[in-house]
Amino acid sequence: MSTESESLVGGASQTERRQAVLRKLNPITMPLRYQIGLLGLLLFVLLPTQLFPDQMGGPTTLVFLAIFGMSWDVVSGYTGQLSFGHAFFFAVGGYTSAILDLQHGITPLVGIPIGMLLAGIGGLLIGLPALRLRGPYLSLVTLIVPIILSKLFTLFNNGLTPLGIPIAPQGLGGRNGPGLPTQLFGIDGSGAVFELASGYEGIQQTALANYYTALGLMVLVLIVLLAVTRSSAGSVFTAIREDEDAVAAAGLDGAKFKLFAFVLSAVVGGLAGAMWVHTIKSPSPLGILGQDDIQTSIDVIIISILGGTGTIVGPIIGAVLFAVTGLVIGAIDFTIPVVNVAVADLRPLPLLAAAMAVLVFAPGGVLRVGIRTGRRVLASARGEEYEGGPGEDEDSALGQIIEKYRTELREIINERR
Amino acid sequence: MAEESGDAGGNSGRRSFLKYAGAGGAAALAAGCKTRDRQSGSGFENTADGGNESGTEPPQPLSGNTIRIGSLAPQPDSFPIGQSMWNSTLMAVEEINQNGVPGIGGRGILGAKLEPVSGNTEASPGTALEEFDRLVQKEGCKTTFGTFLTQCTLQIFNSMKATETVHITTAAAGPKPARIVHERYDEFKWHFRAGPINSYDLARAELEFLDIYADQLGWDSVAVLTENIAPLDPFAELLDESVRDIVSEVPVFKRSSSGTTNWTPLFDEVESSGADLNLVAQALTGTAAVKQWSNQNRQFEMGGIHVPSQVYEFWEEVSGACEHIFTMNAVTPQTTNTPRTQDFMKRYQKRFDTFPVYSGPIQYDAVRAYAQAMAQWVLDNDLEEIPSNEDMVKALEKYKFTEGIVLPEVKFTPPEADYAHDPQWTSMKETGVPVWQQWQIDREVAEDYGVMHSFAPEQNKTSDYTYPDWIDYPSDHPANQ
Repeated sequence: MSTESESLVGGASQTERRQAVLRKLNPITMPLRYQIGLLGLLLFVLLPTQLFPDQMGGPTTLVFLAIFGMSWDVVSGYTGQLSFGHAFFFAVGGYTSAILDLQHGITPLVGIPIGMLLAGIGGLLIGLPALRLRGPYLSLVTLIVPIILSKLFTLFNNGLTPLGIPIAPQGLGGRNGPGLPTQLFGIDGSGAVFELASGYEGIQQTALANYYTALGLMVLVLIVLLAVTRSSAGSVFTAIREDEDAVAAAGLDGAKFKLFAFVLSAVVGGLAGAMWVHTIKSPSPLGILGQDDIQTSIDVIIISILGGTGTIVGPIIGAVLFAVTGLVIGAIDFTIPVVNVAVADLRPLPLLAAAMAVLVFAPGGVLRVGIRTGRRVLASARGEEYEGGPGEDEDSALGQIIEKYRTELREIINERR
Repeated sequence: MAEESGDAGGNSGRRSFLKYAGAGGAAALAAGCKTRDRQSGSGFENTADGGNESGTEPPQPLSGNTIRIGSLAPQPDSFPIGQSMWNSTLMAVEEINQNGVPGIGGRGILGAKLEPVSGNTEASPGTALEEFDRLVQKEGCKTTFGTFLTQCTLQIFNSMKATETVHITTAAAGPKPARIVHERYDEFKWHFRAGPINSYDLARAELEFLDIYADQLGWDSVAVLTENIAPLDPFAELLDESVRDIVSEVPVFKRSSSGTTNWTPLFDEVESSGADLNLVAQALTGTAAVKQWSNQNRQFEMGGIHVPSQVYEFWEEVSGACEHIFTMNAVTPQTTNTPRTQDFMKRYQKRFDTFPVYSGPIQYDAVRAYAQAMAQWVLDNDLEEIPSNEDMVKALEKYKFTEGIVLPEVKFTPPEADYAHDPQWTSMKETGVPVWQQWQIDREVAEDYGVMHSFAPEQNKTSDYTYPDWIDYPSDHPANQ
């Protein structure tokens, strides 16, 4: 008894602490929602067994989108600092590593960490104004940044050598991108960093290697971001979202935490972006930033909202829903009579409608709705009345973000009067 | 005691955890993609018939085979560029299956049946890659044709390399793919472009056009408005360097925003500058510009690179406001780029009740050039099997295709060319392309619809250049000659 109370106050011996950790990690004893999460992860692992290599592009893209979503969630979902142009970080990471490879002959194994680092610096540069700019202004900055970046790609199409420093002597490549970077994985003789088997077997192995590398990265990012957001830093992030003044009143430097969230998010996004261009994506503004230089950023927000903002796990669920909705709608062979438009051609409208429906009816996202419904079902199976559970007060994470936004907007308007 | 039980619990927990972790790891190791069975057809159902012009039985060493070819088009059901690509693929395949390869005869490619498979890139690089992989690995396509955006072409390069699949681009003008083929030939020799000629050559063709025609048509003063989108950069760059050497005056030289909807301020500027011609390059903003130019009876002519004007339905879309607008194009429903062009246009119109955009005729040529190269290679090397893709690269590099409908002669540039595997092009005057198309009214051709006539170059001219009747020209102006 005494040992247990000691462990609760953190005075337990090392053995007990280890035991507690192992107990938490034991799939049999962990709560149902974690077990479902593990099952989901297992499904991710086993997914390729049901697919041909030519079908692996979609799932690999899905995993990358999930990572991008998590990267957005840690700064926007947690601290409420809304970023509308998060693909900026993916592009900085991707382009850095691609240009180092193509124009300086630096292997992706070195280029990827440098891309990640540079994206982190990008996060710092955007995070700094975030300390001074409130809601709508910060959003505007983040919205503009990827568009500026895209213009720079075109402006320095043929060469970027400021003060004679050959940053990109052959240029950033304009709309078509800087070229085709070395692949991390490829068939035998392809010149990839890791050359696999030859022929069809090589194609299979390349598809698998790309997928499992992305999946490994997703799990790593998930663990890191869960660890950070479930630590005391995560509590401060949430507190910033809820009431910044309260954070300051508690003697905490909110600015430092905001900056940390931005840099952490940028580093994750930059790392994924860099891995992306060396696995399945050719670097180009359309490829990375998306349609009109903004589509990827919007997709990432939709994914996070669908899954559940401020949860880290939500974007993974959101990405799955995003992909599944796209597949289902694409497969519907039906033409809407009066307007004479095929349902499949309506993409991505139904998805946007779904995101709006989630915003209105389940602002906590699918994850929170799922957990709550599950608890209700379990309680009813036990013959108990469900009275809400732990963590459900966070149902309004998106509501809090919007409320924070509204408050800041109101303050700005009041200042102008 | 408590510690003992704690240890025991820890061990059991660890064991249990390790057991599950091990199961997960084993599952991961066991996981692997499924393997595709190679698609193979059995060729034509009936035996070969038909002969060639000399009356001798055409050779059919590839009988019994089926060759699948893929089309990678953006929205092949609804978008004119994509529709033209897929429709033209169907026509080319049907003709080859029925009459054999041009000049050889028989059925199919020396007896081998062609089967077209459609892919929809949705003009997105990611989708283009997924569709390419599907066409090649699932559908068993030996080669693919198409891609409208250069980003889409580049996105499929690594898959082209992995699967050693020839892809022939037919609608994207960006020069980068050909540059990569030159620089990394062994990796990416699989890529060819049947057209359009690359954007640097297109920009040179525009200068050549101005050089020859500006004086003849009365364009002393030319205002240049180029839409600010990247594919038009080569035009803006080259015009900025050289246009002032060609015409007497360039009072306005601007990049217009790709979001321009109200053209009045820019048109006011052009008009007050006294420019004879507003030389435009417009892709996204062309429709609004044409409507406003016509409705406001602007005192200058307009044309250049006007993408919407290349679409046959444009006349209807702007209710004829595009009359007198001219644009660079690869081919028009009226031109006779080669003796076969008009035949193709008529058959296309009869079958699909419209005319194709440039991407259609280019794709049609690409499929036929590929078929001819394969047939030629098989005959020259006395083969009785379908050549490997490696051999098809050699064949495409080696042979010249002279049965085209866009270019009289399709020959790909060699690996050592700066832009390798691009269509060889020297000048507009020599090759006859690009053509300069102008929307005109010609009652002899169409009673109640505009006609896409061509006024330049000379060998592809189908009509004289026409001037807007609302402009008051001086008596010595070419318009009054």
